[in-house]
Amino acid sequence: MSAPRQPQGYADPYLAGAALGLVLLAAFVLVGRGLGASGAFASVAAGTVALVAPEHAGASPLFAHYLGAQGPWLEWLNVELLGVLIGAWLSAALAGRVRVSIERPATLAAGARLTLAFAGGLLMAAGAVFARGCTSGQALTGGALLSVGSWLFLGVAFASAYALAPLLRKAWQ
Amino acid sequence: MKVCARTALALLALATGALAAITGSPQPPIADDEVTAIQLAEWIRDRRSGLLVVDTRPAGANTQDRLPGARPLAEFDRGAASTIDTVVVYADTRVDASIVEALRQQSRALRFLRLHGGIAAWNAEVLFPVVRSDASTRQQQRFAARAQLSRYFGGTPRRLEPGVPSGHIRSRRGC
Amino acid sequence: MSAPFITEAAPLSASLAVALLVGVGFGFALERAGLGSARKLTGQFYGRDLSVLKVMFSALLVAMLGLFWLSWLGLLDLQALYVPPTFVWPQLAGGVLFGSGLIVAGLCPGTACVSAATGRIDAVFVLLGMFVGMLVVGLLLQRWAAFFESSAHGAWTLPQLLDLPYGVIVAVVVVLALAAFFVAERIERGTR
Repeated sequence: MSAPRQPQGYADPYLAGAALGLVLLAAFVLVGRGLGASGAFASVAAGTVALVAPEHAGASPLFAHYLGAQGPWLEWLNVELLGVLIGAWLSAALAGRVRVSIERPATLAAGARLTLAFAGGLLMAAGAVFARGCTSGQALTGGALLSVGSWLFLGVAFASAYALAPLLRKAWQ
Repeated sequence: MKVCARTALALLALATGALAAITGSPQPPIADDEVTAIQLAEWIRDRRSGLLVVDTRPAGANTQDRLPGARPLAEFDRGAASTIDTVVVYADTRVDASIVEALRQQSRALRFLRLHGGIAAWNAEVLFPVVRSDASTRQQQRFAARAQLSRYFGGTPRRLEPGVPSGHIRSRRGC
Repeated sequence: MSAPFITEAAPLSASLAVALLVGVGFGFALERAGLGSARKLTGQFYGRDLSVLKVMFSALLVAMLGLFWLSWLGLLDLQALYVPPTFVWPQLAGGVLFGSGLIVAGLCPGTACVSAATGRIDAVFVLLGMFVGMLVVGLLLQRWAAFFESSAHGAWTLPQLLDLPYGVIVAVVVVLALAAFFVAERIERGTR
């Protein structure tokens, strides 16, 4: 175990972004599809419902989608997201940034931060279901493919985050 | 990162972006010795003189989807080529370069062109062109000319209803 | 042989192996950029730190230009790529919900995974919220099925919608992104 050291600074955003773009391009070249995140949650939820109450799983337009072919657990996005966890941990560990903590400003209680985090997760899930994707699957992947719906989603999602930001100033300053 | 590196990246993006605008289509360019299916269809329809279309697929290979007026490779008569100046050769997709070379060796006076994309392109672009039902009026008008060409050759112009699931459920979802 | 190399007919293990590798690269790049930090990420919406915009649009430009030129070189079949289908009204509504959730949670689903992997408990709660949200919305979705499936346009791209050449749209996106980068640098300088 090494002694706690000063975490390294973050990489240049343009350079990190270009690297991310190359990863996305590699995904297109190798498997013909882009990145994603929220789909993995939908697929795990579909798998859970299928175990507990199979009759509900088949009836849901969302879950039914993930219950074909290889089933909800071996969904491509699940494995990809597992890779995300590994890659993120690896990067953070190399830079000395892994630390168990609750990220919040001093003015915000830990409980309040966790409540906001959970509520935000709920809202994003609902949004991702109707939008058929999130920042990765729609905005980034669909954006690079010039998909109409992806650009609509990108614009509206950014606009509503900006619109709500003043109300949440206390949570993030 | 240094400002000059950022500027270099920005200029690279700008240059490749500007070149993309000039290029227009991301499809591979048509080679000098190639002709597009649409262009060939117009030549055939307009009864362009001196044109001969040659099917280079092995004898007996699907005779149903032969291009109108096309001769099989075996019947290509080099002697009777006096009225012919342009030969368009095609295969399923790409014509083997060695076939074109062999023909060229035998009749140097003729211009040989390969059909870009082969019979597959002929089917997709000439016989069965597709228009989206949500296309703009201008796109629909442009398609009308394609549809006419398609019907001339006995094809069927198709209308794609993108909202209606095609039956084949893709297992892929972006996110 | 032209890309994509691993089609739906290929063995599942091959595509899942790529999934893992691509995921590692994705997570590594996001963490390097600092987007595993909710405070850094939300800096976007207060003009403090516009990394989100810079990372996202740099990635988008690289991928978009890469696709265009790989296709032009005949190395990649653009038609074989999966374009997420467009559903106009559901996606607009979803965008509003998602954007609201994003500023409340401070992380998006992908960056929440990154953040959780670096030890942040708040990110774990975002992931829990995502999972519970998927369960609830998934179970209730039948009621809104008509809206969910409405205004479907299938795979629909800007060149088709605007009736402009693909390359022109690519150039416009490049110019807009570079202009946004320029403005972002100005904004950051102003708030620091």
